[in-house]
Amino acid sequence: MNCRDALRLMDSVMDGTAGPEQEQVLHFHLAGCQACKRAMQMNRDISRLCREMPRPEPPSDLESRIRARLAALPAEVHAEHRRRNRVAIALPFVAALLIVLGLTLGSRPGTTAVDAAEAVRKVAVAAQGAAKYTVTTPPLAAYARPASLISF
Amino acid sequence: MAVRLVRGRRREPDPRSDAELMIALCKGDDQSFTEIIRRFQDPVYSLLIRMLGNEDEAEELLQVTFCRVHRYREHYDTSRPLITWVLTIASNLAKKEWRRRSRWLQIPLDNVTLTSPMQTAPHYDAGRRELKASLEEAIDKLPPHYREPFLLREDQQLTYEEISEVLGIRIGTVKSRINRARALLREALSEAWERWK
Amino acid sequence: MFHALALLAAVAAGVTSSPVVTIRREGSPGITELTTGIAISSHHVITLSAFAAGPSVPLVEVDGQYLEPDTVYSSEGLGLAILVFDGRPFTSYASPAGSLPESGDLLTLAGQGVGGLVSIGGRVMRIYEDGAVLVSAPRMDGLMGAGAFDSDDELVGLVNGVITTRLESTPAGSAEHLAILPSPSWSVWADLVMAGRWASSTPFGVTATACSSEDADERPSGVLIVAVDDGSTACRCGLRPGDLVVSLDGERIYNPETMRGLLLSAGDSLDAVVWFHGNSRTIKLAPLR
Repeated sequence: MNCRDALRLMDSVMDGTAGPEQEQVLHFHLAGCQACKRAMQMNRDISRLCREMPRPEPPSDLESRIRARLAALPAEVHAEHRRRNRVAIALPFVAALLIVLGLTLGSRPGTTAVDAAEAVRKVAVAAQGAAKYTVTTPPLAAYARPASLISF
Repeated sequence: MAVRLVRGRRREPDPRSDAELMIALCKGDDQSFTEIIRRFQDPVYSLLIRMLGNEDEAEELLQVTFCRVHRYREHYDTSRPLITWVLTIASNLAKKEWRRRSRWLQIPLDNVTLTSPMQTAPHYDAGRRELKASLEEAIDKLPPHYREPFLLREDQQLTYEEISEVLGIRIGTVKSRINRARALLREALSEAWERWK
Repeated sequence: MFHALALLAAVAAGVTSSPVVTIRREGSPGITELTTGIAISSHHVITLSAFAAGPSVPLVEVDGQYLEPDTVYSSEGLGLAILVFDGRPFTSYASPAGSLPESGDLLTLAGQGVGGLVSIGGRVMRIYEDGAVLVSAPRMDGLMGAGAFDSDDELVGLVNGVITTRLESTPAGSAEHLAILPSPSWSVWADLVMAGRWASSTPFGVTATACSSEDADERPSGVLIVAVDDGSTACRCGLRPGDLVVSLDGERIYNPETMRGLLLSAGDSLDAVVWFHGNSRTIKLAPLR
């Protein structure tokens, strides 16, 4: 068993997902490998210290704050979300086309008319700017294995 | 004159299971929500504060998490552990917050004030405190996608399956990220650990 | 397609940040070349080495500004380069996937086209005999050097070309797939570069090249040892010119850079399966220090 496998197995053993034979294999490796033994000890200590770390305390008036928020919210909106999603899924190409043409989409979730138009304007400006000087991207080239020699 | 004996908020532990509480909540039992908050506020707050790095945001999202638990109570699948559902909600909120503020950066530890007292023995163990402090700092420096599964394992003691559910990633990915988190922590704490040993 | 355009609009509106960055260089005079890089830490960007090669300096766009890297580490063997920056300009970065994707997996390919971020889906078809991952996806502007991400948003690899394979079943007689250089080939090298531990004090003592089974019928793909220095570690471990290292530490290797990276990060000797004229043997290679 090599060290990389041992380090992975260590996690399984620590987290209780390794079987008894696997544990044996790990212990055998640890008996002969100082580096891994040290890593295992560190892992265990770190784990123990994590459990002993002080837990931050939430505010004492949490419940009242939560209830106040709930009371202030408008009525349930599940049904509305579902309807909106369906509309969005049903009109992918139309929606895309409309964005490109800068038209507003009344029922598109999360985007107001102003946002959509702004986004289109920015992309249009970028494209325009690109046209002023020649901008290229590298073409997809035929795959070629790097054939260089390296010495190490 | 009758003296009203104020008993204070010494609760008897609510014997209902998590699933029973949620079912009761769906039926309109308000008291069960109090118990749900009581049971899960610590783990959720702990995760949020370690993922976001400051109290204010963590408190805000802590409230939003429980609001969502209440509003989407009908969506909870009673065959799954409640803790994973609640933590999934909290984790997604934290992730959205990260993305919104583009904060895949390292947050210094100064912003986090841990209010629980540290248990120190009368004879002050300097080496141990140093290692502990270094550990907290090192965890805060972990990239969030390694930090989260690590915390869910070590802090919340969730199984790999539960972590995979909460974070929405494959179990293999959970394992490799926890493995990386531990390797990064070993590297960061190597010196402090030697001194403490 | 809807998702891709929505992402395009979102990035244009500055709402989300992405680990996919634009690298800008002057190609021929008067011609600006835009290429893709992927941020893999707050201050490292990985890209194809062709995009970082001189004489023009590759500049990475961050928040409307163009940053010059402090150092560029290039690996000729892998065809990749890592740009290192001062400070921590990247707020969003991807982590390399720990394992190869499987046939049938759906990946998202994201690159910088002329108009902006290009993002499409591609399905993994198979693993090529020299370790490349073949993905079916349409040819599009901006895909050369694009990052391939899995469903966990991890970086599976970079697109480094198109492979045409002969297929009698299709009317055209051949099929085109995008080739992706997968993370297991380069993540060890990348980790070492990011940790600043790329140099070794003693050389291993070999000169090697990537070798594919296409070149010679009977030979598998792997790392071909071309020369071994007398008295070197490699020599003592039993490597000889003509040996083809096929796997190291239990994993298939195809590139000398991968081999070097594994030897440099090993704590202990690694098992190597070596092929020579039809015969396989296993030897132990001592780690590089």
